[in-house]
Amino acid sequence: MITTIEGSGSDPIRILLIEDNEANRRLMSDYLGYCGYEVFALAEGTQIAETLEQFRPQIILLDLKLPMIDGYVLLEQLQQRDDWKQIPTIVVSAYAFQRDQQRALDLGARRYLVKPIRLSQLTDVIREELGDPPD
Amino acid sequence: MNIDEFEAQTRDSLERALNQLQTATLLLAALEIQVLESGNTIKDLSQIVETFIAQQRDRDSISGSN
Repeated sequence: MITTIEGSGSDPIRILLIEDNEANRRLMSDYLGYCGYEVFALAEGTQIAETLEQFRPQIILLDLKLPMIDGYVLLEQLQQRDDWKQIPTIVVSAYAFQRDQQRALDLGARRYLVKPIRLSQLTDVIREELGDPPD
Repeated sequence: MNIDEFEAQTRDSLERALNQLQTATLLLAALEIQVLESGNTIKDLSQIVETFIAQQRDRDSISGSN
């Protein structure tokens, strides 16, 4: 079942996706775009500060295993500024150990989803985090 | 192999497998979207054809009665 976000006349919700797997990044961006979100995708986290300033995402989808700077470090960076701290960060990771989940949540992640996730599950979580619970 | 090496290797293998499953899930979703969009296009075409046929029949019956 595919749910699309009905246009309300306002700007689309902006989602920052940080995912190093090219196929997953492209397919997830396409799907979220199809659902009505505006998506900016990064393959790694070195540009996160500039992207946060310019794109001003309302929600962040974050993988943990990333080149250069891993997702844990990015979570720490997001906690360093009050305005960044307010952005709900949903970890979407293939790290399935409980220890990883606890560490990410302790570092400020709002949710921890272990791959593979159903896309309807992802959009439900996004809507919940934005205060628009699914029907 | 000590326990740390075992953990690192297992973790990497699991991570790769779960990422591949995620790709498969996303491809299925993309396929579902394509099927739905093709279905919508065919439904639209069906309505256009039906309307055209009805108009042609109306025209034929009008010219036949004259």
